[in-house]
Amino acid sequence: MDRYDLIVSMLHANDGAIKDRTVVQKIAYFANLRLDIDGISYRDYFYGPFSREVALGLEHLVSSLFVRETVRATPIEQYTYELTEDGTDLAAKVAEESPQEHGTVRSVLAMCKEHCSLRARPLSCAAKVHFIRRKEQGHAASPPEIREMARDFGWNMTNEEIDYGMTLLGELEGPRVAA
Amino acid sequence: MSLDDDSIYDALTPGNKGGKSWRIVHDVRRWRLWKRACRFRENAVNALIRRELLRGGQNRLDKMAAGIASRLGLEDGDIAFHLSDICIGLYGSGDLLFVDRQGNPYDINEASPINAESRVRTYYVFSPAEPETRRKIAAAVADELGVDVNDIAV
Repeated sequence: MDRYDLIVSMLHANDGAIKDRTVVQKIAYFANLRLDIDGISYRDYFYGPFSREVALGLEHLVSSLFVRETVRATPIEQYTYELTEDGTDLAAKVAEESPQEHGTVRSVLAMCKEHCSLRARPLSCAAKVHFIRRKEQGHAASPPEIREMARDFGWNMTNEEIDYGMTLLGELEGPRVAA
Repeated sequence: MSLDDDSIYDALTPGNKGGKSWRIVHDVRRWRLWKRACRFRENAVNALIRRELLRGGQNRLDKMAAGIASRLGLEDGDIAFHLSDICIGLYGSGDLLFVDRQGNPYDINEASPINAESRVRTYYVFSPAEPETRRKIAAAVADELGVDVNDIAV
Protein backbone atom coordinates (compact mmCIF):
# COMPACT_ATOMS: atom_id res chain seq x y z
CA MET A 1 0.00 0.00 0.00
CA ASP A 2 1.30 3.45 -0.90
CA ARG A 3 0.06 6.96 -0.06
CA TYR A 4 -2.40 6.96 -2.96
CA ASP A 5 -3.87 3.63 -1.86
CA LEU A 6 -4.10 4.93 1.71
CA ILE A 7 -6.09 8.00 0.66
CA VAL A 8 -8.56 6.15 -1.59
CA SER A 9 -9.02 3.51 1.13
CA MET A 10 -9.84 6.22 3.66
CA LEU A 11 -12.42 7.82 1.37
CA HIS A 12 -13.88 4.42 0.47
CA ALA A 13 -14.17 3.51 4.16
CA ASN A 14 -16.29 6.63 4.72
CA ASP A 15 -18.83 5.94 1.96
CA GLY A 16 -16.64 7.56 -0.66
CA ALA A 17 -16.12 11.04 0.77
CA ILE A 18 -14.44 12.98 3.58
CA LYS A 19 -15.02 16.62 4.45
CA ASP A 20 -12.09 18.81 5.41
CA ARG A 21 -8.41 18.55 4.51
CA THR A 22 -7.41 18.49 8.19
CA VAL A 23 -9.57 15.39 8.74
CA VAL A 24 -7.89 13.65 5.79
CA GLN A 25 -4.47 14.50 7.22
CA LYS A 26 -5.28 13.30 10.74
CA ILE A 27 -6.92 10.02 9.74
CA ALA A 28 -3.93 9.36 7.48
CA TYR A 29 -1.70 10.11 10.48
CA PHE A 30 -3.44 7.61 12.75
CA ALA A 31 -3.73 4.95 10.03
CA ASN A 32 -0.07 5.32 9.18
CA LEU A 33 0.90 4.66 12.80
CA ARG A 34 -0.27 1.09 12.09
CA LEU A 35 0.77 0.85 8.46
CA ASP A 36 4.11 2.71 8.44
CA ILE A 37 3.93 3.38 4.71
CA ASP A 38 7.20 4.16 2.96
CA GLY A 39 7.71 7.79 2.03
CA ILE A 40 5.20 9.38 4.41
CA SER A 41 6.73 11.72 6.96
CA TYR A 42 5.23 14.23 9.36
CA ARG A 43 6.25 17.61 10.68
CA ASP A 44 4.56 19.97 13.10
CA TYR A 45 2.08 22.36 11.54
CA PHE A 46 -0.58 24.75 12.79
CA TYR A 47 -3.30 22.08 12.97
CA GLY A 48 -0.99 19.35 14.28
CA PRO A 49 1.22 16.84 12.45
CA PHE A 50 1.15 17.41 8.71
CA SER A 51 2.44 15.25 5.88
CA ARG A 52 3.43 16.99 2.67
CA GLU A 53 3.38 13.59 0.93
CA VAL A 54 -0.27 13.00 1.88
CA ALA A 55 -1.22 16.54 0.79
CA LEU A 56 0.52 16.09 -2.57
CA GLY A 57 -0.92 12.59 -2.95
CA LEU A 58 -4.41 13.99 -2.50
CA GLU A 59 -3.69 16.71 -5.04
CA HIS A 60 -2.36 14.16 -7.55
CA LEU A 61 -5.43 11.96 -7.08
CA VAL A 62 -7.62 14.98 -7.80
CA SER A 63 -5.69 15.95 -10.92
CA SER A 64 -5.70 12.32 -12.13
CA LEU A 65 -9.49 12.24 -11.79
CA PHE A 66 -9.70 9.57 -9.10
CA VAL A 67 -10.92 12.06 -6.49
CA ARG A 68 -13.22 15.06 -6.90
CA GLU A 69 -12.49 18.15 -4.83
CA THR A 70 -15.28 20.57 -4.12
CA VAL A 71 -14.90 23.84 -2.30
CA ARG A 72 -17.82 25.45 -0.60
CA ALA A 73 -17.42 29.20 -0.46
CA THR A 74 -18.76 29.83 2.99
CA PRO A 75 -16.85 32.35 5.14
CA ILE A 76 -14.44 29.49 5.91
CA GLU A 77 -13.52 27.44 2.83
CA GLN A 78 -14.82 23.89 3.16
CA TYR A 79 -13.08 21.28 1.05
CA THR A 80 -14.75 17.94 0.39
CA TYR A 81 -12.98 15.00 -1.22
CA GLU A 82 -15.07 12.39 -2.96
CA LEU A 83 -14.14 9.30 -4.97
CA THR A 84 -15.06 9.47 -8.64
CA GLU A 85 -16.29 6.35 -10.43
CA ASP A 86 -12.68 5.49 -11.37
CA GLY A 87 -11.64 6.23 -7.78
CA THR A 88 -14.24 3.80 -6.44
CA ASP A 89 -12.95 1.12 -8.81
CA LEU A 90 -9.42 1.88 -7.67
CA ALA A 91 -10.42 1.57 -4.00
CA ALA A 92 -12.00 -1.81 -4.73
CA LYS A 93 -8.78 -2.88 -6.42
CA VAL A 94 -6.74 -1.74 -3.39
CA ALA A 95 -9.05 -3.68 -1.05
CA GLU A 96 -8.47 -6.76 -3.19
CA GLU A 97 -4.68 -6.27 -3.39
CA SER A 98 -4.07 -5.27 0.24
CA PRO A 99 -6.97 -6.60 2.33
CA GLN A 100 -5.18 -6.37 5.67
CA GLU A 101 -4.04 -2.77 5.22
CA HIS A 102 -7.43 -1.80 3.84
CA GLY A 103 -9.02 -3.37 6.94
CA THR A 104 -6.71 -1.37 9.20
CA VAL A 105 -7.73 1.87 7.49
CA ARG A 106 -11.41 0.96 7.86
CA SER A 107 -10.90 0.15 11.51
CA VAL A 108 -9.09 3.43 12.31
CA LEU A 109 -11.68 5.44 10.44
CA ALA A 110 -14.56 3.68 12.18
CA MET A 111 -12.96 4.42 15.55
CA CYS A 112 -12.50 8.12 14.71
CA LYS A 113 -16.06 8.27 13.48
CA GLU A 114 -17.46 6.61 16.58
CA HIS A 115 -15.61 8.84 19.04
CA CYS A 116 -15.60 12.26 17.38
CA SER A 117 -17.79 12.02 14.25
CA LEU A 118 -14.72 12.86 12.13
CA ARG A 119 -14.55 16.41 13.45
CA ALA A 120 -11.29 18.19 12.74
CA ARG A 121 -10.65 19.71 16.16
CA PRO A 122 -10.67 16.56 18.34
CA LEU A 123 -8.70 14.67 15.72
CA SER A 124 -6.21 17.50 15.61
CA CYS A 125 -5.90 17.53 19.44
CA ALA A 126 -5.33 13.77 19.59
CA ALA A 127 -2.73 13.93 16.81
CA LYS A 128 -0.91 16.79 18.57
CA VAL A 129 -0.82 14.86 21.86
CA HIS A 130 0.48 11.77 20.10
CA PHE A 131 3.09 13.77 18.17
CA ILE A 132 4.37 15.36 21.39
CA ARG A 133 4.52 12.03 23.24
CA ARG A 134 6.34 10.43 20.33
CA LYS A 135 8.96 13.16 20.45
CA GLU A 136 9.40 12.33 24.12
CA GLN A 137 10.12 8.73 23.13
CA GLY A 138 7.71 6.91 25.36
CA HIS A 139 7.79 9.23 28.37
CA ALA A 140 4.23 9.34 29.72
CA ALA A 141 4.00 13.11 29.91
CA SER A 142 1.33 14.60 32.16
CA PRO A 143 -1.22 17.08 30.76
CA PRO A 144 0.68 20.13 32.16
CA GLU A 145 3.90 18.78 30.63
CA ILE A 146 2.15 18.23 27.30
CA ARG A 147 0.79 21.76 27.42
CA GLU A 148 4.29 23.08 28.01
CA MET A 149 5.81 20.98 25.25
CA ALA A 150 3.03 21.96 22.83
CA ARG A 151 4.28 25.54 23.03
CA ASP A 152 7.59 24.39 21.52
CA PHE A 153 5.64 23.49 18.39
CA GLY A 154 3.68 26.74 18.45
CA TRP A 155 0.51 25.00 19.65
CA ASN A 156 -1.36 26.79 22.39
CA MET A 157 -3.45 23.90 23.73
CA THR A 158 -6.01 24.31 26.49
CA ASN A 159 -6.36 21.69 29.26
CA GLU A 160 -9.72 20.74 27.77
CA GLU A 161 -8.13 20.11 24.36
CA ILE A 162 -5.39 18.01 25.94
CA ASP A 163 -7.92 15.96 27.90
CA TYR A 164 -10.04 15.49 24.79
CA GLY A 165 -6.98 14.54 22.77
CA MET A 166 -5.77 12.05 25.38
CA THR A 167 -9.19 10.43 25.63
CA LEU A 168 -9.52 10.00 21.88
CA LEU A 169 -5.93 8.83 21.66
CA GLY A 170 -6.63 6.26 24.38
CA GLU A 171 -9.47 4.91 22.26
CA LEU A 172 -7.39 4.89 19.10
CA GLU A 173 -4.46 3.20 20.79
CA GLY A 174 -6.72 0.57 22.30
CA PRO A 175 -6.67 -3.06 21.23
CA ARG A 176 -9.65 -2.62 18.90
CA VAL A 177 -7.53 -0.61 16.44
CA ALA A 178 -4.72 -3.13 16.24
CA ALA A 179 -4.23 -4.58 12.76
CA MET B 1 31.82 30.76 -22.74
CA SER B 2 29.65 32.80 -25.06
CA LEU B 3 26.21 31.46 -25.69
CA ASP B 4 26.14 31.50 -29.47
CA ASP B 5 24.65 28.57 -31.40
CA ASP B 6 28.00 26.88 -32.05
CA SER B 7 29.15 26.93 -28.42
CA ILE B 8 25.83 25.46 -27.26
CA TYR B 9 26.13 22.82 -29.96
CA ASP B 10 29.69 21.98 -28.87
CA ALA B 11 28.70 21.85 -25.19
CA LEU B 12 25.88 19.44 -25.91
CA THR B 13 27.82 17.15 -28.18
CA PRO B 14 31.36 16.76 -26.85
CA GLY B 15 33.01 13.85 -28.63
CA ASN B 16 29.74 11.96 -28.88
CA LYS B 17 28.98 12.11 -32.56
CA GLY B 18 26.07 9.83 -33.33
CA GLY B 19 24.78 9.77 -29.73
CA LYS B 20 21.23 10.69 -28.71
CA SER B 21 22.02 14.31 -27.79
CA TRP B 22 24.09 14.81 -30.92
CA ARG B 23 21.29 13.42 -33.08
CA ILE B 24 18.64 15.66 -31.52
CA VAL B 25 20.74 18.81 -31.81
CA HIS B 26 21.85 17.85 -35.32
CA ASP B 27 18.21 17.43 -36.40
CA VAL B 28 17.27 20.78 -34.88
CA ARG B 29 20.13 22.48 -36.76
CA ARG B 30 18.95 20.93 -39.99
CA TRP B 31 15.41 22.03 -39.22
CA ARG B 32 14.21 18.43 -39.00
CA LEU B 33 11.84 19.20 -36.20
CA TRP B 34 9.57 16.79 -34.39
CA LYS B 35 5.83 16.98 -34.75
CA ARG B 36 2.90 15.91 -32.67
CA ALA B 37 2.03 12.25 -33.18
CA CYS B 38 -1.16 12.47 -31.13
CA ARG B 39 -2.89 14.09 -28.20
CA PHE B 40 -5.64 12.95 -25.82
CA ARG B 41 -7.30 14.07 -22.60
CA GLU B 42 -6.07 12.37 -19.43
CA ASN B 43 -9.53 11.05 -18.63
CA ALA B 44 -9.42 9.00 -21.85
CA VAL B 45 -6.61 6.83 -20.40
CA ASN B 46 -7.62 3.50 -18.88
CA ALA B 47 -8.00 3.94 -15.09
CA LEU B 48 -5.55 1.19 -14.13
CA ILE B 49 -2.90 2.64 -16.42
CA ARG B 50 -3.63 6.08 -14.99
CA ARG B 51 -2.87 4.60 -11.57
CA GLU B 52 0.48 3.32 -12.88
CA LEU B 53 1.27 6.76 -14.29
CA LEU B 54 0.27 8.38 -11.02
CA ARG B 55 2.73 6.19 -9.15
CA GLY B 56 5.55 6.27 -11.70
CA GLY B 57 5.30 9.85 -13.00
CA GLN B 58 7.53 10.98 -15.86
CA ASN B 59 9.85 7.96 -15.43
CA ARG B 60 6.96 5.64 -16.20
CA LEU B 61 6.04 7.71 -19.27
CA ASP B 62 9.66 7.67 -20.48
CA LYS B 63 9.79 3.88 -20.09
CA MET B 64 6.51 3.57 -21.98
CA ALA B 65 7.89 5.78 -24.77
CA ALA B 66 11.08 3.69 -24.94
CA GLY B 67 9.05 0.47 -25.11
CA ILE B 68 6.87 1.77 -27.95
CA ALA B 69 9.94 3.07 -29.83
CA SER B 70 11.61 -0.31 -29.50
CA ARG B 71 8.52 -2.18 -30.75
CA LEU B 72 8.20 0.11 -33.76
CA GLY B 73 11.90 -0.20 -34.61
CA LEU B 74 12.63 3.46 -33.81
CA GLU B 75 15.68 4.86 -32.04
CA ASP B 76 15.61 5.15 -28.26
CA GLY B 77 14.45 8.71 -27.53
CA ASP B 78 12.43 9.09 -30.74
CA ILE B 79 9.17 9.38 -28.81
CA ALA B 80 8.46 11.93 -26.07
CA PHE B 81 5.38 12.18 -23.85
CA HIS B 82 4.33 15.44 -22.29
CA LEU B 83 1.47 15.98 -19.87
CA SER B 84 0.11 19.50 -20.17
CA ASP B 85 -1.77 20.70 -17.09
CA ILE B 86 -3.67 23.91 -17.74
CA CYS B 87 -5.92 25.50 -15.19
CA ILE B 88 -8.21 27.51 -17.42
CA GLY B 89 -10.36 28.96 -14.68
CA LEU B 90 -9.79 32.54 -13.67
CA TYR B 91 -10.45 31.61 -10.08
CA GLY B 92 -11.39 28.63 -7.93
CA SER B 93 -14.69 28.44 -6.14
CA GLY B 94 -12.98 29.21 -2.81
CA ASP B 95 -11.04 32.24 -4.08
CA LEU B 96 -13.82 34.79 -3.89
CA LEU B 97 -16.66 35.17 -1.47
CA PHE B 98 -19.96 35.89 -3.20
CA VAL B 99 -22.81 37.17 -1.10
CA ASP B 100 -26.41 37.90 -1.98
CA ARG B 101 -28.24 41.13 -1.16
CA GLN B 102 -28.92 39.84 2.33
CA GLY B 103 -25.22 39.14 2.88
CA ASN B 104 -25.59 35.37 2.71
CA PRO B 105 -22.70 33.58 0.98
CA TYR B 106 -23.44 31.41 -2.04
CA ASP B 107 -21.39 29.15 -4.26
CA ILE B 108 -19.47 30.71 -7.13
CA ASN B 109 -20.80 28.06 -9.50
CA GLU B 110 -24.14 29.76 -9.20
CA ALA B 111 -22.56 33.04 -10.26
CA SER B 112 -20.10 32.13 -12.97
CA PRO B 113 -19.10 29.07 -15.00
CA ILE B 114 -15.55 30.42 -15.38
CA ASN B 115 -13.81 28.75 -12.50
CA ALA B 116 -10.98 26.35 -11.79
CA GLU B 117 -13.10 23.25 -12.23
CA SER B 118 -12.51 23.55 -15.95
CA ARG B 119 -8.96 22.25 -15.53
CA VAL B 120 -7.58 20.57 -18.64
CA ARG B 121 -4.93 17.85 -18.55
CA THR B 122 -3.81 16.64 -21.94
CA TYR B 123 -1.14 14.22 -23.04
CA TYR B 124 0.93 15.18 -26.07
CA VAL B 125 3.17 12.67 -27.84
CA PHE B 126 5.93 14.01 -30.07
CA SER B 127 8.07 12.15 -32.59
CA PRO B 128 10.01 12.59 -35.85
CA ALA B 129 7.87 14.20 -38.50
CA GLU B 130 7.26 11.40 -41.02
CA PRO B 131 3.46 10.97 -41.29
CA GLU B 132 3.59 7.17 -41.42
CA THR B 133 5.77 7.00 -38.29
CA ARG B 134 3.43 9.34 -36.44
CA ARG B 135 0.41 7.31 -37.47
CA LYS B 136 2.01 4.10 -36.15
CA ILE B 137 3.01 5.82 -32.91
CA ALA B 138 -0.50 7.15 -32.37
CA ALA B 139 -1.94 3.65 -32.82
CA ALA B 140 0.67 2.11 -30.48
CA VAL B 141 0.09 4.79 -27.82
CA ALA B 142 -3.69 4.25 -27.97
CA ASP B 143 -3.14 0.53 -27.51
CA GLU B 144 -0.60 0.90 -24.69
CA LEU B 145 -2.64 3.40 -22.67
CA GLY B 146 -6.03 1.86 -23.35
CA VAL B 147 -7.30 5.00 -25.09
CA ASP B 148 -10.28 4.62 -27.40
CA VAL B 149 -9.32 5.57 -30.97
CA ASN B 150 -12.22 8.02 -31.00
CA ASP B 151 -10.66 9.91 -28.08
CA ILE B 152 -7.27 10.34 -29.69
CA ALA B 153 -6.46 13.24 -32.00
CA VAL B 154 -3.50 13.35 -34.37
